[in-house]
Amino acid sequence: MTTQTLDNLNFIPSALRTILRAFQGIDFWLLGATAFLIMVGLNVLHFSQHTQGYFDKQLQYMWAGLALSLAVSRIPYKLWTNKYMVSFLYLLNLALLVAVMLKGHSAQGAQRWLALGPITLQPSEVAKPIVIFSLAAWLRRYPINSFFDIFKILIILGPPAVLVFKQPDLGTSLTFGAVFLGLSYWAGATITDILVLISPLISLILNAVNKEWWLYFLGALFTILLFFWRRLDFKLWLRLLLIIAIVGANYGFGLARPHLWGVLKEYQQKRLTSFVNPYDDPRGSGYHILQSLIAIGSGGVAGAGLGHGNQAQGAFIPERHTDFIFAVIGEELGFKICALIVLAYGVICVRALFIALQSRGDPAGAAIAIGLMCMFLFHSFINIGMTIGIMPVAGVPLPFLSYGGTALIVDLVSIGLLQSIYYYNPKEQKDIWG
Amino acid sequence: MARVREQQQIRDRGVIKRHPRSPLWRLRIWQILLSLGALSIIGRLYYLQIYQGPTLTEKAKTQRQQHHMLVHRGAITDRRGLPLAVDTTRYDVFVHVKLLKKEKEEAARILSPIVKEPESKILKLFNSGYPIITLARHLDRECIDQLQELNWTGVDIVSRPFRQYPEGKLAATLLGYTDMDTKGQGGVEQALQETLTDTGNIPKPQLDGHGRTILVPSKQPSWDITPPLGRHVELTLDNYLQHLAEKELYAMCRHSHALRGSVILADPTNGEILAWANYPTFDPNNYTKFKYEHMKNWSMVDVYQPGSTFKIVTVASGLETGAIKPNQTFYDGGSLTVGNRTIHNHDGGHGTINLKGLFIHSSNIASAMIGMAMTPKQFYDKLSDFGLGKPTGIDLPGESGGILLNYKRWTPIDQATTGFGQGAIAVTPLQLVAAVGVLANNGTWVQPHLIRRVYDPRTGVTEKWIEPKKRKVIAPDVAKLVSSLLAQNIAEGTQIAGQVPGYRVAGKTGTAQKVTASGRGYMAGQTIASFIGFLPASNPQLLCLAVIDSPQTDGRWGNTVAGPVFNAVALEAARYLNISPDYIYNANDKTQKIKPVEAPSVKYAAELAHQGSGDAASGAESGQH
Repeated sequence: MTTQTLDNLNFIPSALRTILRAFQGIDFWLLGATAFLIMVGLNVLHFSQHTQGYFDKQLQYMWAGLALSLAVSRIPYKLWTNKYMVSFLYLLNLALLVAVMLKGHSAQGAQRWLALGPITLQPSEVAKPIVIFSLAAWLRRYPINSFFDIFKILIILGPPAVLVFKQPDLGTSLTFGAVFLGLSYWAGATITDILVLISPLISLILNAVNKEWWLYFLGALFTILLFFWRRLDFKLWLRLLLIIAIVGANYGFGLARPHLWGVLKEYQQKRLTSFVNPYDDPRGSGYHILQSLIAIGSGGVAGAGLGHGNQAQGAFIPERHTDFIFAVIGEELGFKICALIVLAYGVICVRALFIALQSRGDPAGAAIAIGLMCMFLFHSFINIGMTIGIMPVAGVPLPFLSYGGTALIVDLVSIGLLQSIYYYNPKEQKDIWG
Repeated sequence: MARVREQQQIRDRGVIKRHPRSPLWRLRIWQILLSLGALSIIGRLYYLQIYQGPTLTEKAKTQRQQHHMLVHRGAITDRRGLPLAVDTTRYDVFVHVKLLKKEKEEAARILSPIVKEPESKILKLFNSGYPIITLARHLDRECIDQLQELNWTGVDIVSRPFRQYPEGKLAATLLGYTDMDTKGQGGVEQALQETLTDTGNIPKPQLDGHGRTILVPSKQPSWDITPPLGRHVELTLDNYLQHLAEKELYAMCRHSHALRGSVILADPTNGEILAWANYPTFDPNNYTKFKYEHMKNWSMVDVYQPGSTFKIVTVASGLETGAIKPNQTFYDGGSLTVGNRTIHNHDGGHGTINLKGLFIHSSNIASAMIGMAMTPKQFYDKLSDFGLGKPTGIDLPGESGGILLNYKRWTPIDQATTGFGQGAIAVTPLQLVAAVGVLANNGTWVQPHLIRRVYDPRTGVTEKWIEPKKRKVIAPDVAKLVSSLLAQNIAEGTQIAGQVPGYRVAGKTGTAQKVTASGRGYMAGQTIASFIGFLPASNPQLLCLAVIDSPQTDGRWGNTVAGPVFNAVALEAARYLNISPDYIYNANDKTQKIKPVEAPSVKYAAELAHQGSGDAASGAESGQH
């Protein structure tokens, strides 16, 4: 049922039709997955012994987020990518980020929160959708047709990313990175372009792990680029030159790894490496991960029951209501619910992808959907990966589950946006690709 | 209009140009990426929660319980229930220096007399810069009452279990001690560490990451109110006999300036050790002030060459294997040449002697002849049967197995000297007790043991009776024969050892040369004096060994040094245990050849009082440094 079919049903009173229309064009998959995740998160907070105050607050945030989400889902999303609106939002966002640097109050070594009258705001969370709007608008105006177009995105992405990184909020800056990669790929960058973009990172990691693998990788990179990368876009000599430059840059990154590594502080180094073998330093850098693994593992299939996880309630898990809430869920609700949660995130991502596909008629809408998908995918994968010991510890919240007002509202609004895109790009409308 | 349409077309082309490629296969890439992500996470979750789940659950549990657990150890009592080691409550005092409302100097001045530490030391602790300092440990109730009267903020009083040994040094080498971490060290405390701290079905408390107790709802008694109590352990020792043995042994050891000594009093029929005194000893309440050497139970850990007492085993082996006949005679010319070595008696030749003469004259020559009469394998196997060369398996940690050289490595001289306990053999006093116990128990070897039973502290129900191992070693006839020979040895001989009025004692003295520390050759003039005997000879109920290492008085003989200790202990123990006498002793009856000797503790009382402490039982005072 779509808007059009509803309009044809003339025998329904118009007032009722208006009401009914509000319920049309809702993606129930998206809605169900979100509802499930929020329900789990609230339950965990409610039954935790030391986080009951958090539950009440989180509930308020949820209502606020739900109201905003409902509003956003029925506001045409094009409003946000309107060139005046997007400029305003972008500048507002920059202003907020600057304000938080100057006047924000800090917790745990990072200056992230800004008090605006009665509400406390986390501008780095708000920055996520705004940056996605900006990128969507930018890509509509300047699509990626050649390799160097990708770097134009950085003009938009750079300032907020740097401001966020300075807070410091590594997690959010990495989110921007993920959104950047995802959106460039969607907007026309080839898979080899993406490979070129992430190759320095791979070089760094491989150089640290095994020098031989690193050299093989450089060879493979050269070959792949030679055969597949932008064969029609550049002249042969220019291509060769560029490829040699890229491989050379990778070689340089590998060589400079010890120095780059030295720039990081020791605790940052440990945070990045301790997930590989947390048993090396079980009381120090490996403590968080080890406790998280133990908690999740002791949950078993069915879990210990809400509020009965001894590891979770016993203060073994650090940040048990924010970054490590998945460890609490793992212990208290077990494998069944954990798998369902992973599936719920999967559903959200798949639906976002579907919505993007459906709204290809409007590149900005598709780009917003893809950007939001990247955000959810990155957050959930990095956060869950961190708690189960397959990703390094980076301060990324788990969408809908981690305690945190701004993050919850932003996530709900994002869902509202996806619904809006879904609503305003009905399925029946054949797009230009048929 | 045309211009507008043209512009529109250009714009449309632009729109089309902006979306040049079909993103369908890109969609597939996204889908693959998403499925890989989800699969990797679910796979990892499966691995953690289902494959590794039980391991990690166990890990979580031990982690919650690995913190310092306060458990009252069960009590160790003697066989009548008198306490030898009990747990009480003592208090540790911690001070949060910053919370003190007084000046540091004043606080130190007030606290100093209460916690019995010098003022300067307390002040130094206050100024050490730590936020929390440990002011004192193991304070008793009296001090704590005074501290509580002060009612200062910043002074934390934490109660903790504390091990006390109400009898002080009594049986200290058997009990061991409990270290700072409330872990048993040495003796019963170590051997039964698990049992003494086994709290049965009371679940252990679980502590959270901050070390606070997680309150788990449970219908069972919980740990939160008071630390639970472990199992009680009852020893076979008898408090009275232990006191007696220690008193006599210490008196003699101090009188004779001996290096060390031991008295083992056992019931040969069931292997229960009734008293086991070791000299030197230590005070487990105050163990840090003693040398490590004094804390060990040497009569179980260290070996010595038993000398003449071993002839009992040789004769029994010879009779059992059929190498000698009960009425066999030997010619003892005072020396015997085996290969290029010559064996001597300590007092020349005795002519032709039978087995009784062998014991009375303690003939090395005759014993060597018996040793040589058996094949090495026969002799070796018999000695093994007597439990030599391997630990008896007593329920104490660190027991040594003694030395019994393999017969394949024996030279003839080894075989000959082993016959009188000086060759290829070295035993612990405990092993000798077990071996001679075979004769007192109709030819059956019984494992000596110290622990009688383990019982539940709340219900008193016995959870475990200790059953000793038993094995047949020699025929009852042979055991009876050797016992009667030993009894005749005491009755007809002229020695003072074994003169217990009212009882016919079967026994043998031993005066062994002491092996040098290097293990080659013997020390000049130094002996290990011993006497082992059991009574009544016809129906043995009490077996007693007295060993004194390196005595410096009384001729250094087993007869004169170890004998009086045996006499005093055996007489009093027999009286205490109501063992029916063989005859009524009458001091005026001249036909009774018995010549009772005064107990060392009485005889040397004046001398020992003069030496220092009047309490004979505190004999190890000299060992304190």
